[in-house]
Amino acid sequence: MIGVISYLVFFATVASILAIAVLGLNLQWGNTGLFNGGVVAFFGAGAYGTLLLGGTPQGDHIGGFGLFYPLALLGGMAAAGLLAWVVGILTLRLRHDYLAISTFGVAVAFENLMRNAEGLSGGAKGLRGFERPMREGLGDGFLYNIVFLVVVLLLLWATYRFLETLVGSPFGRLLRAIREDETAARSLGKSPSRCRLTAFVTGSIIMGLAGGLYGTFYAFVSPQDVLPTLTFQIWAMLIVGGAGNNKGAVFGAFLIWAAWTVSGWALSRFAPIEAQLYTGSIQYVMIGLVIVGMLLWRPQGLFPERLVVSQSSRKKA
Amino acid sequence: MDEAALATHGLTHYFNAFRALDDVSIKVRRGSITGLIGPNGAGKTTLFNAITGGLRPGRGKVTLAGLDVTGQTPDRLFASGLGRTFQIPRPFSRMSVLENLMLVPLSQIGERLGGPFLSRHAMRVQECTIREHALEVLDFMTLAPLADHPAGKISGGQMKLLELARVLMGDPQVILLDEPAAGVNPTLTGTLIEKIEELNRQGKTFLIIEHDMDFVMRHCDPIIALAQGRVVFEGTAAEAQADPVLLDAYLGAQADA
Amino acid sequence: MMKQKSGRLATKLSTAIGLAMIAGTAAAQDCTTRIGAVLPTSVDWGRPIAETAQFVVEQVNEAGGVAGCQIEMVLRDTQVDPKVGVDAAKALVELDGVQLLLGAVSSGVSMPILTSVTVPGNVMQMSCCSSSTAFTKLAEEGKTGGLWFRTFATTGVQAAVGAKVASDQGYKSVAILYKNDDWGQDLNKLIAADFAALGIEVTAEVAINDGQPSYRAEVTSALAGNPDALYLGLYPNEGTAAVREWLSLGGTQNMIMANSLKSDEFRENVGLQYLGNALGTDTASPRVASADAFVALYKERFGGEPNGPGLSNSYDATMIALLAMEAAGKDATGEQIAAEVARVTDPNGTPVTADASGFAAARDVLAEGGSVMYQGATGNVRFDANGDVSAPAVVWKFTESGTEEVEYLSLTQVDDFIASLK
Repeated sequence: MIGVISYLVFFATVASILAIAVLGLNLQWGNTGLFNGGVVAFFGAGAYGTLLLGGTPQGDHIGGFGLFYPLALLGGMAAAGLLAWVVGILTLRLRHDYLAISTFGVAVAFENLMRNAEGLSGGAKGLRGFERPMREGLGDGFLYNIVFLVVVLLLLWATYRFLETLVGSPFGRLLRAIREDETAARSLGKSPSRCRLTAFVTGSIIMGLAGGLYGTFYAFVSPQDVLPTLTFQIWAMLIVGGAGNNKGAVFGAFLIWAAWTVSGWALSRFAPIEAQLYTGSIQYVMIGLVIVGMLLWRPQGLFPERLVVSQSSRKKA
Repeated sequence: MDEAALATHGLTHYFNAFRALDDVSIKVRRGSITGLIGPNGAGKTTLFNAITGGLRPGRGKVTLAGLDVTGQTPDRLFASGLGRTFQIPRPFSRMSVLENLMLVPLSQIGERLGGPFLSRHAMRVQECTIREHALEVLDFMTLAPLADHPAGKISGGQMKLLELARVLMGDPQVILLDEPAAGVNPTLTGTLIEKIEELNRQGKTFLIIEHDMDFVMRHCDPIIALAQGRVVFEGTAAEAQADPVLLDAYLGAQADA
Repeated sequence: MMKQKSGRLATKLSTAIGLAMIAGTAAAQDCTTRIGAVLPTSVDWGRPIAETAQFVVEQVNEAGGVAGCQIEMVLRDTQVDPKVGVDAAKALVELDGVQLLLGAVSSGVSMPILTSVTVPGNVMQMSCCSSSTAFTKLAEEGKTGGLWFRTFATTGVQAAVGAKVASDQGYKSVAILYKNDDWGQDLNKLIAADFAALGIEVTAEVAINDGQPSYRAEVTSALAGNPDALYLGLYPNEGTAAVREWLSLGGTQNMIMANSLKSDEFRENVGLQYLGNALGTDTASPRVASADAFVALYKERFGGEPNGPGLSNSYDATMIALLAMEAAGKDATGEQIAAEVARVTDPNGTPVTADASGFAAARDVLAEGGSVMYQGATGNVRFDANGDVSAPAVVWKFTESGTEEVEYLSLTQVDDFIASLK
């Protein structure tokens, strides 16, 4: 029984971390209509940034500044934000398809940089030497995972509240207007490029937060963590959950990650041995089918976007 | 100070070798409802785009209340007091009618990223003010019953009213209307004209591009006619009706088309 | 062709497992011990590694299982995605209660499993194939808790022997092409240092990325220094492409290959006629009778030579882990199993072969409190304090039917040579 709980804690931690990243993408795509094809670059910048700033000194690469953990995490988020700002300045004037291609390129470049810039990132063998915070007091086991999950859940809740407030505010109204008709928004005095940049950077900082927590949880990050698969997974979660709806984003993250892990577990448990050797491929096909099915039959996702925020009669204050 | 609320000075623009605008100078008198007519291909749209910032003219300049605004972006033009509507209405169709209006006021506290968190109270107060104002404008435009409807679900004529209402939220001095009567049923056209005239009495200046000769003749004064990229006529409706050159240019080209 | 082959393998494997299960019931053993395996089965070269591990489990079950119980290997796919691998490992540990985890292959997956699942959970982790030097550093810092082992000799041995080949062949200058991953980067760094220590000039060190349509630019820059020989730290896919370009641009046929290129696919696709002067290095040692026995067993089971990367390592990893489990007795914890690894790889112990009968023989010795020396597919495996193996080495070359040994370097020879480099 304790085993099941222990696994569920572990599962919920990873799912919550992914949910934070999905929330970041939701701000960009769901609320603003920005197609970020390089989610993993901003996630990775957060992970690498946090571990470099918070790790212990290592002989073979820079970093290991041993910063107080919350500062390291903020640093990781800042790294993601900075990357997004540079990418945004360069690409946000371009429209959707160009942005998608350039962000995808940025993600590939990021992975290559991490793989090759050994002096910066530890190269292909990854970034070691990070000690999980408060490990001395809590040990390494179940208790630690519980505490960590609580922290992650609090951050997930904070991110959720932040975004809900944001999209319910005039800022969210502005984002929806720009997403829907940029020309009309411009004719009404709005500056789409500035708003898009704000949303893009903010969403990326949130992805950076997720990346930082991810790196912290494993106390390790390597180029294998920043492969395009992650971008695909995050997108799948958002599409299934419902682009534009923060609840849907969180739900989608849990659902898809559960489907991913449960199908792997079930295949290993119940499928004949021949099929077991193909579990990975089968899983990809299944997740792909789910996404295609969603797009065909419920393109708005499980939780459709709530479109009208301000009412004519004042609701409760 | 110049009595022209909006003016162009020698606008010339080429698309490759085609001369779309040829030394176009017009004046929109403060407090007038100026009509701009011309057959298809006369350069109306190009002129409109050059004024509203969609196009940077090859030569010449645009002034708004005497200030040079040539080539300014549409968002800055709106902030400078120039509002416009679209030939085919562009409401934010997934937002409510009310939200379409509440969006407009400039420099809203809540439009800044930190606003909803750091200046929460001020933002709420401002939202209330904006909502009240928006409801007043909707009331004036006879759209109040539709406030909570998605803007994409109202009729084409109502969308025209909505566009004008939306522009009014920014309180511009000059309003450009792009074919306001096109595709609208007569009842709503009537409402629209009534509102335009009332706003005009309150001091708003209008420049109306219209294909429909009748509409222009009846409601606009003065009238400017374009043909082949040039101003071929400028004067009152009565003068226009008596002008053989205009009738020839306009009706002749229309017969050709 | 590859598909057909693996399909056939899978069918045979399932039949065998079916039989083993019937045999298990017939022996009236009603207990089953689960072990976990997290391997990249969705990758072409990962699947045979898993099949080899499963093959060991079958044999052990045939010999009566471990501590009186049949072994059930629960196999999970990592998809070479660290998240997926770590989650699978956590599920195996917490839901299936395994005390022994085999895997993973990629260091980028093995490492987070080690730091966030097996070490915190006191579970023994044995990898066939993770090669990163980071594990050695982690173990030196005492952070693996003695729970980590790998049968893939550290890249140091491979690099040293590669450098020795160059020196023996009289090459004065060498260009290096290496796979741009953790293993390749380590290998490149180590062998470049070894070449330098032997006074051999390194004219170029060129990283090769997977899946490029052409490696012309990379190969051209390697050719620039006009080296006597080419060192290849690559896998068959990109190795084939890069070597073809190298030869077509007039590069020398003097080549030294890492064990990763010991594959039929590479030989067939490049062409044996171009590989006459190509020498490979490997840490596996066919000197020991049990290594031949492994090849024979493997051929009998799978109908081909064990030429894929990591197969002999996977075999030994699984067998040693199960021997240690046997030594630790029923219901042993991961820590207890890990502690027994030394007793089943004791150089002074009773030699046992790497098959069902060897396992049965080891059981008797261990039951009496003795120790055994496991003679496996990669030689007489011996772990150092960091869970790394030092192993004898061979130099090999390609032949019509597979590979052939050119030179054998015993463990002492390897160690002495490595010491002479420092």
